[in-house]
Amino acid sequence: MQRHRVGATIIFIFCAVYGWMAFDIPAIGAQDQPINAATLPKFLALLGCTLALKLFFSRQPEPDPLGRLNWKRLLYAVACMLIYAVIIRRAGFIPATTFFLAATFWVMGERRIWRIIAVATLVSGIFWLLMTQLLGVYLPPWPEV
Amino acid sequence: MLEGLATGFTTALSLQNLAFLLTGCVAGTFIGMLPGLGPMTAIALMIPIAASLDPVAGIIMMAAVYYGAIFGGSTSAILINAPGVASTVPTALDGYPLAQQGQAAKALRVAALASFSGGIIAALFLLLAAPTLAKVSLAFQSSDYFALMILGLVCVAAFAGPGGMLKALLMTVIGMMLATVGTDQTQGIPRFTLGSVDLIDGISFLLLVMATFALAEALLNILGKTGASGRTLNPVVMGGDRLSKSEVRDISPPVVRSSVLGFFVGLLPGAGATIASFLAYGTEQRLDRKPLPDKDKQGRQPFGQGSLKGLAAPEAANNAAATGSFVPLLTLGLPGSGTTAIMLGALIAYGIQPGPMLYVSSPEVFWSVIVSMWVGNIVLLFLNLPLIPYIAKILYLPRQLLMPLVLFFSLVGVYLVSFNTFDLFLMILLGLAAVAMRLLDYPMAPMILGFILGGLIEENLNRALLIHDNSWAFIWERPLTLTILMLALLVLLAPLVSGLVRRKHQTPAD
Repeated sequence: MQRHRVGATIIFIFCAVYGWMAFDIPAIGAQDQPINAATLPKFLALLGCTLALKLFFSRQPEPDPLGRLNWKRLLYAVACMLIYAVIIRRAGFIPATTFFLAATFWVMGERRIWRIIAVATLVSGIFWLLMTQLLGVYLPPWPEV
Repeated sequence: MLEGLATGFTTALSLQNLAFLLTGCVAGTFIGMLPGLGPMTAIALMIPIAASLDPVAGIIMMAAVYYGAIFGGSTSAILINAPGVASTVPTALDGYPLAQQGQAAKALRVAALASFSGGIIAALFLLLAAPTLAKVSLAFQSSDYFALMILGLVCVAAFAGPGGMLKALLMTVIGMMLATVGTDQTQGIPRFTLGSVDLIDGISFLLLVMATFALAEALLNILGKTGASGRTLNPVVMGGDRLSKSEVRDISPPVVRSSVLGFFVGLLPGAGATIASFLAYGTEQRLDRKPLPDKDKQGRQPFGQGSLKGLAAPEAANNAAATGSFVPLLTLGLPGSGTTAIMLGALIAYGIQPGPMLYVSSPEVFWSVIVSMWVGNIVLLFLNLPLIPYIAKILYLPRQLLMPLVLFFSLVGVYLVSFNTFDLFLMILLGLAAVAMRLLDYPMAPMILGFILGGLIEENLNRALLIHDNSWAFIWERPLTLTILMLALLVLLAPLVSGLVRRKHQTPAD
């Protein structure tokens, strides 16, 4: 399938689900008004589905090939971000950020351990200092007991 | 106007605001220089910092980041043939050959001078046009704004390029859909919150911009889409940066012509800096009377091989268009491009509604933005230019260290505003969706415009209906609303009609 058709299919499904959910929006106290909280969403869903169908059946020039993509590296980077989101509050800002940076440096192909540790520690430490001391933003540096 | 200018100068030149302007210019240059990270990403990354400042300082800093990033984009285009954004592609056509000939410093100086002139000339036009347009638009009502915003959305989609109109329109609709998440403004009914308390206030604008630009850009880089991943570049020879009198004489007319052209193209919603720079390059190439592929007697290179004119024209147009795009933003509250849409979102976050009332209610914001453009251009010329050899070192840093840092700043930028980890998960989800759409060749800027204007369209439509006793008659009874809506229809139908006409003309030949 052509790339624009894959996109059109995904968007059509998104718009259809959005439209289906739009029918669950209650129109309380708005019977006498020409529009209510559900009007715009229903219109957008209809418009989105129509445009997606039109795009699906249209002829589009084939875009440049994507080339070789490193999906494994992306997957690891996303995993690092998800872990960071889970631990940022529990482990404290400095340990969580040091771990996240070190892990993503490794995922990106950096193999010099001392460089990884030094940059990760320095960035998280300096950033924490900047935030707490200069901008007055409170960030718990270590795990809260 | 003079009084306003004085207010602008006093505000923009205060020590604190000057410091933010300097920071913005340097930070913008840094970020804009990184291949793949354009002005939109630069502004998005700076929003969390700007949010902690007072509105005037925040807006001055973001405007400075904007033209700093444009300047930075030109630098990477000249030094390593990696235009950060589409608008700097024409810059690379002649800038990179110059750098390869050992004249990188001269190319950077020409780019900076042309950008400076473009910015100054356009800011002068802005100074004259904005207050007049603001006064005229004071007569606008909610219904006219509703129509104007429809026109803005349609224009952006229409300027999306061949074959891209449908995709741009679809992305605009998706942006508007995302804007409906959260509590409805008029009736207070929660929509699409999936029962989550975290979505009651809707999706934050900062989160969406960070996810779809900064985070997505870094993830695409990690995926290897932008090509330069992991590659360490070798520094180019900077050479001398002196320009001879004849060279200055040679590039002056193209700079003035391109500045004027760029400003007017920038006024059009959706056209922006990319069209302006390509148009200026094409125009100057046609006007050039040296078709021979060799140097002439004065050592001038032809277009595409290191022509100073070919470098100066798109640079002037690029910067002038960036300034021009501020006119509809400041006077009508209508963003003409993705970048000004982000600026509009930031202004709204500050509680400032751009539009004709901005000129009346917050003159210090209005005038200091205009004045800061002049000061910003001067800063770029006199401070950034000497620093370029040092700032450019960031280009030679290994990607494996840079990209994780961009991921970190994007995530932390959003986390520091809400301190809610739900936002981080939502951001990762939206970032991945943006990566998928980018790989499928769907543009992101129309989505941001749809997101910003979606809420405003619904709000203005509700208000217009309320004013007109719940009657739709305002659409055809109010001449201004009708004219703007007809114009929007015309813009929407023009490509379809021209396509039909072209097909009709082609059929007999086939």
